[in-house]
Amino acid sequence: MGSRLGKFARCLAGTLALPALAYCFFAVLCSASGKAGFGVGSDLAIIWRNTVYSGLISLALSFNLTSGRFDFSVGSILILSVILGVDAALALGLGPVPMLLACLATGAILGGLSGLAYVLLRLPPIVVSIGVAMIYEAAAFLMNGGSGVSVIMHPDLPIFARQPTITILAAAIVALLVLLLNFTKFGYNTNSLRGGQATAVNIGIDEKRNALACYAIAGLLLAAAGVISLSILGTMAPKLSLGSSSYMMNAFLPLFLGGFLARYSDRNVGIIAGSFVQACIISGFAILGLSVSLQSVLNTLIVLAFLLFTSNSYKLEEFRMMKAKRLAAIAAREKTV
Amino acid sequence: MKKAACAIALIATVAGMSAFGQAKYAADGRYPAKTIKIGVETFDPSDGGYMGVQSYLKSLSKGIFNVEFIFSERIDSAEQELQFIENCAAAGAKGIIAYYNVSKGQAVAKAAELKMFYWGTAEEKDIYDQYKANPYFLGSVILGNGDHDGMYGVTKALLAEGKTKFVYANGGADFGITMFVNRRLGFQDAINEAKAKGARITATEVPGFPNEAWFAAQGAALAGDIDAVVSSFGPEVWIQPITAAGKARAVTIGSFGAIGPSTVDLFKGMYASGLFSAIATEPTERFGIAVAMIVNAAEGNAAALKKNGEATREAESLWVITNPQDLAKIVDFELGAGRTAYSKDLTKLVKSIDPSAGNATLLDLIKGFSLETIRAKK
Amino acid sequence: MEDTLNHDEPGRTPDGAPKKRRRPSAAALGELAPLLGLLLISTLFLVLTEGRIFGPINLRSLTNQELITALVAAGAVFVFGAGAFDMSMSGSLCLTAIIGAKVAMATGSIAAMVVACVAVSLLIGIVKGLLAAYVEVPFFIVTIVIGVFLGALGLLAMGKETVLTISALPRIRDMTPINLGSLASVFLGGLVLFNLTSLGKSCKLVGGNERAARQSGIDVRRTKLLAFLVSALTVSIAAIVILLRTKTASALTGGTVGTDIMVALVLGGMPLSGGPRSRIGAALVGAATITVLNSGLAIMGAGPGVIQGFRGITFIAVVFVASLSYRTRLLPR
Repeated sequence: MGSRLGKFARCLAGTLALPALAYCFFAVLCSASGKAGFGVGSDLAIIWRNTVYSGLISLALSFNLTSGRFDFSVGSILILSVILGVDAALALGLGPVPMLLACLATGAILGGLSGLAYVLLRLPPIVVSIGVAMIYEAAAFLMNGGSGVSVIMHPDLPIFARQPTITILAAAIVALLVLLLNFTKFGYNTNSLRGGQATAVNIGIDEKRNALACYAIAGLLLAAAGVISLSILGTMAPKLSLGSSSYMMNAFLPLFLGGFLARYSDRNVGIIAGSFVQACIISGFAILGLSVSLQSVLNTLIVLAFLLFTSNSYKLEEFRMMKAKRLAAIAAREKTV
Repeated sequence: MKKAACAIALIATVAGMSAFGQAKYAADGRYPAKTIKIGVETFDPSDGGYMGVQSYLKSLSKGIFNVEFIFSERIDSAEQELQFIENCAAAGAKGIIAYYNVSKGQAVAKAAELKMFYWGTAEEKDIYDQYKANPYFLGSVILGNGDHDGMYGVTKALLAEGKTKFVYANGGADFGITMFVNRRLGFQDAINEAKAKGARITATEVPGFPNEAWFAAQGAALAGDIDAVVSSFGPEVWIQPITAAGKARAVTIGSFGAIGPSTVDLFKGMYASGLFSAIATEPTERFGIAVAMIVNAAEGNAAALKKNGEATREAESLWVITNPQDLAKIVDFELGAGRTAYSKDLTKLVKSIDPSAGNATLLDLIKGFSLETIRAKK
Repeated sequence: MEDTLNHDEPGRTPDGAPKKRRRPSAAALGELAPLLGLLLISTLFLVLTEGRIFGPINLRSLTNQELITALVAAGAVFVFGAGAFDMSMSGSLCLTAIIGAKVAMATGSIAAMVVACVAVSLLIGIVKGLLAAYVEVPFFIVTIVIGVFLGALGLLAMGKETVLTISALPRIRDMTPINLGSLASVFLGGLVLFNLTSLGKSCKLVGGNERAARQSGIDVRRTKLLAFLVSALTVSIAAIVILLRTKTASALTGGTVGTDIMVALVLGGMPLSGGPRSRIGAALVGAATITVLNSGLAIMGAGPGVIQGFRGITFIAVVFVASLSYRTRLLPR
């Protein structure tokens, strides 16, 4: 029991260490620069809001990217699912929760269709997703004469960016994903396919069905992120010329941080923690008043540095292991001598 | 016998003239008989202002002029702009309406090289001076320095209400997009003028367009002590956040915006609630003038509308709407009979229809869409 | 993203499963699909535009439009052929053009502009090549991030300027000789380099199976580095052509090149995972296809939404037919 508690404490500490470090770093930096307001009051609410928003997009990306499928259609699914869902909600006079469910259902269908295209056409996923993104962007633009959707005149609808709704939504989604990926057959199959595609297929896992489900779940998560964006701004506008791919730019850091933090808890929880780190960085830069280009340069350097670290950190472990083995071998030899 | 012959000759002449006159018009009554293609280029096809212009142009092509428009996709760079102009030439277009220009004089030169009439860019004095004598450069009806003046006017309106704590959403200014750079200059000029008179003004900028970084900057700005938001790319993305921050009574918005069927109710509601103070909007009618000028030029009568043989560079203010009454007048004009009547008057710019078409006609029509003229209408 | 398509083990895939037999008709169709696609699209738009798309005005315009994509894609064939993904071309082209423009404005010299473009582009290529060759990273994601980084650097380099206009450059009325000259030299050079030299053969082998290539004595790192340098060279040529043609540079120069070249290569029949099936010709055919498609739709006056939708459908259709020649038991990744 004691060791269990200890292990839990270590895992908790491991998961929360980076987010806490990021928060403290920027709190100190902003304070030292004479810029108040970081991480307290409304800024904390914004950090949490960005955490959930980026976190959902990263979670969506993770369902496919960890299985070697890069999905360019992330942004286009987000936009089109919200436009379709909100149009339906306004036409039927639905309330906020039914509107959310309509968007989630639409997102799942659009994601599923994207997966279906991949499975049926058997093309490299990046290629399929580019084509799907073009088609979804076109569809979003052709609807409503290119003006997108607006719920500004319906103040009862955009409630999903405020407390406690956003926290309930995030907690429910992450809990479901943790259950799904760790305690269901779908989860075992997904993890098997991630670990080794050929082996998993050889032992009888239906790869196509799994891929379809992954795409559908990703679509659902993207729709949830889209509803949060709609709740923040009150509008959702279409994009063209693969401009929707910009939605995934801020998803990489949480994704890779999540992979790194997965050793302490679960990938999904790790992604949310990673998203919190990124939200602190973004908020910190905003409060420091850095220009857009400088923010972009610094953000990309941080992502690159982290990617380099996570992809090569095993070498550090390997070095430690080899060093320990070498020392043990030397000690053993000295004993015999 | 003589009388009969004269009568027959007279009847034949009248019949011939009317047949000739009718041949100028298409079967559905639009002018001219043969369709004229016109390319329209833009930075962002989903921009509200541009969509308003598109809608107006389509209405012109349905009822008044036998024109077909080739609308561009998103044009980011100079090479895309030149490609679009070349595509229009290949499609047989006679003119280009430049809602946007990135390659500066290159676009004018390219259009002229391909024997297409170029309408636009006259607000850039150096480009205008370089090409004003070029027969293919029609110039344009400029809104002064519309981007600068619009944001300046909106900011002045807010200052006049006693606002002193500003947030400015600068859109693409930090990305070097000229339109947004000019709008920011307009905002800054108004603020600096007020400061020079002794007013204590604070101004915080929120850079870029909505994404995570923008949400953070917007939130930080709204958390501060503010009483006005000036937006360079539309008010919609501020209404919900201001309301959610509980500042709907304390903060008012001034912005560039587009008056159209999808925004009218929103704007009316926001003015009524006190959330809006001022909207700067571009009159779409000047693009109606563009169509008429290109049709006229395509028939070889471009010189008729020129002053001293030079391309047009007449100015009219854009609309800075600072009260609900002006909004109502503008809405009535834009979405009602006012614009329809105005559109019919555009045919006066085509010399083949109206032989008296000249520079004076052009000036009358430009005055016709001014805010003062619209206010005076009953 | 490992592609099991290009391992040349007769009869079996690396996991030991029996390889699916390729039907000869499907294989032939797949091989010819890019050319057939180009022919089909050209014929379709020849009819729909009543011949205007290949009229004398537009032919010149088509070479202008195709050029940048074709040039950058030709260099990208080496990189993709070696099994690396590079999504940072837009950023590279943008930064190269901006620095080149600034040097031209400062010195008034075209030669200095050319040198600056080549130097900046090669420097970027070296950095990417070193990352690809020596550092273990998820390279595809890294190149997306690098692309954003380079674009942001370009924006910083612009300073307060919105557009850099190079008045020192003469206005070239007819770019056709320069266009054709640069296209021909890049493609001929690329053909020789990719098909007849050890560099090209090494690229294909590394892209096919890196481990086997290493074990057969190929210096994988050197191959990757050189592939990125070749790509950087073509990016610099593209930047120079843009500056000569438009005499301007901005933070949005070369904005969509990154995705355009990927679409072009795929339409041209190039397997994105590289390997022995890589072809230089894919760059030319693909760039031509996408140019004819874009030009044809624009000439027809289709709205932006329709153009985009049609482009997406055509893209998937052509790629599907092209992929008929290589189908695997497992879903591609």
